[in-house]
Amino acid sequence: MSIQLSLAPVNGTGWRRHYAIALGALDVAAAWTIVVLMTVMVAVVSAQVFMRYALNSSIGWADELSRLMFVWSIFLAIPLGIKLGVHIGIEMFTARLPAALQDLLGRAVALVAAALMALVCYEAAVITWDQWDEQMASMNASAALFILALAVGGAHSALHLLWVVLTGKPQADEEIARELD
Amino acid sequence: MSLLVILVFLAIAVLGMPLAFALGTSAVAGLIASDVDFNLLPTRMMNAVNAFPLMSIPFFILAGELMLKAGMMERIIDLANAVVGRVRGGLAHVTMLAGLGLSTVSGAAVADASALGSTLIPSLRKVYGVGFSSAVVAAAANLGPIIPPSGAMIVYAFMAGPTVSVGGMFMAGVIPGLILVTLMMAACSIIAVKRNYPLTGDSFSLARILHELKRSIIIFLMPVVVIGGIVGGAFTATEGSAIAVVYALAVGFFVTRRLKLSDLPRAAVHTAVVSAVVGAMIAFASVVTYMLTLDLLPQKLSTLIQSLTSSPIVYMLLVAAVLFVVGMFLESNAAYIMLVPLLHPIALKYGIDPLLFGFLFVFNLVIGMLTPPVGVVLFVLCGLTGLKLGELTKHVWPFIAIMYGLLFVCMFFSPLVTWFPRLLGY
Repeated sequence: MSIQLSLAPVNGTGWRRHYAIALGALDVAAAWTIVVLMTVMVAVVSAQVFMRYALNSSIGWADELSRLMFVWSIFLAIPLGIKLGVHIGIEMFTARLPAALQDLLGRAVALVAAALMALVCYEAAVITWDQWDEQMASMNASAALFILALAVGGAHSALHLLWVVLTGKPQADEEIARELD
Repeated sequence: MSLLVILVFLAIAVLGMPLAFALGTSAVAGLIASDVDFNLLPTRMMNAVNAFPLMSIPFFILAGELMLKAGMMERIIDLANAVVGRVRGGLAHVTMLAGLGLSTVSGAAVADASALGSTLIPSLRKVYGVGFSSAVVAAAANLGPIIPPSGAMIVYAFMAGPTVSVGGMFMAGVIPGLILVTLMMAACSIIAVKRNYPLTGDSFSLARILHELKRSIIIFLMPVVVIGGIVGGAFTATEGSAIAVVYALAVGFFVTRRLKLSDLPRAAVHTAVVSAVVGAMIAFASVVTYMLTLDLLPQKLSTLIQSLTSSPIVYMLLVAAVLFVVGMFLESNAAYIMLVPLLHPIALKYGIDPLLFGFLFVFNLVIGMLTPPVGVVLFVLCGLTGLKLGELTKHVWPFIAIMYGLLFVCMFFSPLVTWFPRLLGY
């Protein structure tokens, strides 16, 4: 599993080049955000244990903050999983089909999945808008920040799936092929 | 409506759509058919993932990865070599004990197969050939989800709800896991004698064992602190897993000094992506489960099965048969997420001990990772060695037979599974 943490040079021309640059930038931003989220999660949860036993105290917002970080890290990592082609599927039947039919089927399936993630993004954005004034239980922040993660992750995922629809393969496949050239 | 959801899921899953999105698409079909608002989709997805216990999945993955980068594998192998290196089939025994040691800090068979395979297969294949070597590594890696901590058991406990605790599931795996490693080592000895494999390794020395034990004690202190803390009630499974990460960082930076700051971002993102694969399935499956519950499917299924048999043993055998087939075709996390909410409540109605049913469920799907055509652990080994799947299957079947044998012994003699967790108060 090759994970991109810095912007890589992009080959190609026209829309494909611009699309690849935009997706690459989004991926790097998502990856570094995940690094920060994971660090905060580990720090907050272990600090909570330390506070409980060493200082006989507790951090009131530790549970809510760590759950918020976790929800964001999952939904930011889903599109990176699409890019790397690691989401689990049953391929034993389609692998027996002719290459052209496999390609067509792969694009069709990606189109349906892109529509699904676009729907998740839209519905999550609507709920975020409606609930923005609601406060979290232990922090002075909007409770809608939880559902906003689905809007952001949904949009990013839809863009990666659309790449598969347009090119026939996940973006990481092209990067690996380029490295081998 | 339930039938529509299931048919849509099966149709698009067979067409190759990743299972998470296939679950989501079938859920949307259910929402349309039952005229429920689409805003249920993100709401339920978020609620499913917004769970403190689930955070232990990425933390345990990250802790295992950091421990590997910290160089724990070499120390475990050196210790195993000192203990069992100089016996017939010594390297196979070393692999089994290394698998056991690795499983106490890592909870995933695939990661363990990759770590054990890349480290041990070069030496193993010189003595035993590539087929038996890969089979031994595959069997040893399968200890990962049985011995605590276990990613599979965390997912099971989460999907089963409040009747099963993560700590209880962890402890349920201890005795069967130790029996399993003993049986598999016995099988290695028999095969080694039968095939007349040569003696390898240095001669037995108590001083060497003590030296290696001293070097590796820091590794084995981690499960003692983390699992001991969880079982002793000092902290929750999630808090324990976060402490495991801090422990791994301390070992890597200050004891082995093999971990670099630059290793951390990649490890964090890798962990998040692996967790997101499970997280996406849990999120979308929660909407499907809701749709099926609206249609009272779990209750209907329960009534149907209870009308077929009133025997808990027959039910467990029936579930074992279903999981045998499912394990051959479906990745295990997908199976937990889709089947535990349906089958676990029925087991409770039969009066089956939830820890026993949970352990058997996990063990069944863990064996499924070694059975073709979809045996993910086999795929890892084939990828590492270039061996054909059929060839590896020929060598791995004795270990599969041992695992199924132990599964049925546990089913009919439940204290093997339940005695230890009950002793600890679960």
